[in-house]
Amino acid sequence: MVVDHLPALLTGFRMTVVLSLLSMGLGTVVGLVLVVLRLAPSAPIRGAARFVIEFFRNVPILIQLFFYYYGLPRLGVSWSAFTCATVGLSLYSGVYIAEALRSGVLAVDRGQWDAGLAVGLSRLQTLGHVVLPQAVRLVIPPLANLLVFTIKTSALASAITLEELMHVTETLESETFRTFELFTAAAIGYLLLTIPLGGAARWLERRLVIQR
Amino acid sequence: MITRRGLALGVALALLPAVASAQAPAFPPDSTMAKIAKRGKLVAAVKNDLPLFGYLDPKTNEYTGFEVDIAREIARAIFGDPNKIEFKSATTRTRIPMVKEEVVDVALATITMTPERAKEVDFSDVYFVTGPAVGVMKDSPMPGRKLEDYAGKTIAVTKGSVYEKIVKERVPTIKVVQIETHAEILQALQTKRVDGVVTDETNLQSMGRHDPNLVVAVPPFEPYSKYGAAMKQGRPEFVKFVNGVIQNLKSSGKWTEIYTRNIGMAAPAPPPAN
Repeated sequence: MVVDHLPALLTGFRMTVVLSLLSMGLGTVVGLVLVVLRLAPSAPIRGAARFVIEFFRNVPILIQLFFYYYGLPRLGVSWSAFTCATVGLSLYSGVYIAEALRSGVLAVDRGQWDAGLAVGLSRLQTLGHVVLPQAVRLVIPPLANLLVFTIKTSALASAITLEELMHVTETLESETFRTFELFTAAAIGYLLLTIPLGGAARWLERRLVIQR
Repeated sequence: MITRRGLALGVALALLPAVASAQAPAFPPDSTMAKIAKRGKLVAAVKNDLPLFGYLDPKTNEYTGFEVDIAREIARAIFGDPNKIEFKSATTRTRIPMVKEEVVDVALATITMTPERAKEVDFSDVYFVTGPAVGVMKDSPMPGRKLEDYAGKTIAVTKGSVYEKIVKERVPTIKVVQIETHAEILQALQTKRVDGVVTDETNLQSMGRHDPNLVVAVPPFEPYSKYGAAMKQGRPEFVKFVNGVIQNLKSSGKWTEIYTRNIGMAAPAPPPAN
């Protein structure tokens, strides 16, 4: 019975929650930093930010995780599975978040920039105080998608031995052969995280969205 | 285009009874063998990362290994042709579900027969016997020649292997890390993620083909692993048929030939049926 394995599943669930929350938080920071760099006046900085975004966005996350876990030690850097997963997921979701934010920034009326600069704010201040707050409101649905995506992607950390929900499920499956029941339980575990997040996003959207 | 293909199919279907009667033995109509014969190929799950047993050679894109050859003999017994077979790659974790869900007819994928697994699938007679051993890298500290010497160390096993339980029961202080494939375990050993690996000795030899620095630190210990072919339950005629093939291989000397060709050592006597 799946109930007998609940304690083990809960341990995995807890790890998934910690990894997801941390990666969503750090991913947002990465996204904010990258979007600022991506919109910088200096062309080399813009180019560098663009390169970083394209690189992490276009290499499959599984390869990135394998690189951190099995590749970096060959270069003398040996991170724990948890660190590898957190760094990998944060960067991977961070670059997507940066692109979502950028599309929001581009959708904000050009006049807002002019207004900010006209009252004496610097470019960075205008971006931070005037443009980004409006941009975020425009892109709440895609941002919520990306946070859900981060939670689901965390399952790939099972491939680098991190004992999160997916890894625990696979281990139990191979011991008990209760494939259907266990994967259903795991699916419910992910839904418990993703559905409330989607609900919260809709609530936020209703509260914050700019009515036009 | 469609008509030409239809025509070809028609011709093939018309020829089929003649071909079938010429080569394949007649099977009882509702038997698994008859269904496989009708399909035109046997579908077998094998490993793809163990050169001695089941290996998908990246140079030729062909499967090779001891179990691959045994599977081909089953195809030969059905079709008179060892090439009427499709291989699917299995990992330790996926091989039994693949049999249960009828993704394959039979799995020959270094499956140690255990009472728990026998509840899920039916096994053929034993076709190979080996035993769990500890492998370490030559350049890493080798704590000792007994499993107990590895207390406090990190040991890798494949996900779904029987050795997770066995290692934890015998030496509870060993930290067991489960990794999907033997190829990845080798990476973990090379990068010192783990201190050693517990797997069947023959799997260590397979891994040693990829990296000669992998050595056997603890020789095979009990319980020994008896490999059997796994089939979906409720097909006694198919199990009997596969047993017939295995018995024939053992008595005809072909088992020894396949062993020598793949394992590359003097072959022991074929193992008894159970």
